Amino acid sequence: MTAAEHVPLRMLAVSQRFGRRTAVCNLTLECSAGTMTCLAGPNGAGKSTILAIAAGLLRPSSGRVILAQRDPADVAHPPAIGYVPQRSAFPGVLTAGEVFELARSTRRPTPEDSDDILDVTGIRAVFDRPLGELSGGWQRRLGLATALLPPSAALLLDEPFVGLDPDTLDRLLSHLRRRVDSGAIVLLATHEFELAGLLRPDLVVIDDGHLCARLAAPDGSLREHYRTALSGCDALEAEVSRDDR
Amino acid sequence: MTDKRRGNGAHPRHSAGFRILPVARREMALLGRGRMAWGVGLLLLVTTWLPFMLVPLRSGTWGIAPLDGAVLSSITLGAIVLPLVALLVGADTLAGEMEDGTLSALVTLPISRRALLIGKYLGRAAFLLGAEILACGSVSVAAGIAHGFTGARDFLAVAGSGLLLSLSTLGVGVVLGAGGRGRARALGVALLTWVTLAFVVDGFLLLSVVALAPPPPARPGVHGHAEINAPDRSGATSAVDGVLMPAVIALDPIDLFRILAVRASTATGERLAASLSGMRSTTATTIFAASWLGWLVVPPWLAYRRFRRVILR
Repeated sequence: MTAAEHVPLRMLAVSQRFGRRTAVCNLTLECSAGTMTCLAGPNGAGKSTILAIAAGLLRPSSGRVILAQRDPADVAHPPAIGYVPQRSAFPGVLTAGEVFELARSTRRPTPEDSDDILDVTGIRAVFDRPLGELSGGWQRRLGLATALLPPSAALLLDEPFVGLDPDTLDRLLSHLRRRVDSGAIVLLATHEFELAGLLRPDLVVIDDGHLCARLAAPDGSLREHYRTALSGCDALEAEVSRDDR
Repeated sequence: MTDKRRGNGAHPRHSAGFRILPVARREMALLGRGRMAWGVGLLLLVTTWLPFMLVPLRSGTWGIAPLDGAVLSSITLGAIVLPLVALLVGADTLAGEMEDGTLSALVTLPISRRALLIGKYLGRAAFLLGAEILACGSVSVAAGIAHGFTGARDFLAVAGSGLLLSLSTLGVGVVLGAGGRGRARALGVALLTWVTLAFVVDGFLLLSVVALAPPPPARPGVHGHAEINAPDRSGATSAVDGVLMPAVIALDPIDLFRILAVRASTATGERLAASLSGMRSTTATTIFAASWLGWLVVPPWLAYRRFRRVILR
């Protein structure tokens, strides 16, 4: 096995086009086992698209993605991932327990791991209730519960902190820390810099589909680092467009 | 946490069955709690009981229909209703959840799309099977009471043939809904397919039969299309009867259903024995068996081919 194969997630020169619009442009990103990476960028920068590509929901227009030595978009042998989209959608007639049970029966975590996820998300309290009757917050927690169930090559979380109460947030943050310590990779897109900063993640700044900056577990305020990186990116962009003219 | 212990994420290899069955169970729960379940159940109950109870009204009396008339009417009605129900249920299998965005949560679980499709197909098939058992089973019991063992057996034969028809058209429906073009479009195409299979192709086949058949029967048949294979006046089964006719019939699962149901039912089989002579040869039976197999296997395979290319977000 070469050194490169130890890297659980590699996105190599990945571009994603939707018609004429380029959502992600020539992005190269590597995330090693046991690391947490925070994708940051303005709305529409391409963060969710990057996560969807890493989750295998989108096949990139060009470039290559390898997750746990597999192509995540391989529909025959998909790698096990935990993916939380911005908006989780479940059929309203099913109960929370049924949805969780399906995830548990396909992932097959140990009973301890399963109980741990139930404790972190607290969804045991609504197991018997149809999803159509649950609030957005509970649905969000259920989405997290099904995604966080081990084993996973990577946890790909799109705005995971939105809609959660403070207690659940605390449990989620410590759970994510434990997952990283146990070797999982966590890639999250968020604007909640204060919360994400508590996890000391690597910071990857995306703007207009381009990777602007990558900082390895920066000290201090994540928000400040983000602003500095983004302004540098804007200055660079202005310079490039001036040169083009 | 066990990420390291499990090789950090590549999901453990187990048999596909443990992934298919939970998906099938989920599908049955989804269908069973929706309004569609009540609609399908009611429709099947009405259409199976209707011929049994109302055929005598032709003669202006109430009561239980004579067995052969009731069975033939059930076949005629089943040939229209069963594919309609199965096509609509099938078209909604993937299209509905793609439109609602609920399928994305499934595909990010460690389930291959093949297992996902098979699970959903089996769940819907089990649902249809349950509805048909409820409808045909109750009529079979009633027919058993009214006409004895033969009555019950004949209705069960129709039910069994109907199940094959339902499964094959369910698969066709799943293909139609696997392209990710939205629920309304999938259901519209399913309706169009139903019209095509039940009426257009059927009419075309009938015309072909008329064109290909040897001298016309002296007395035209009276029930549906059960007489489509006109008996050879010479008494010998011609090449047209032996190979070409079964091959033409095999193009439409609805006609396959009619032939199988009529053949399997004692009352109608005896009544239409002469018409069925060409359909009972070994060659014809082989063609029909191969066709059923094709109609049952090919549509789900085509559905997988379409579904694997669909982008879900």
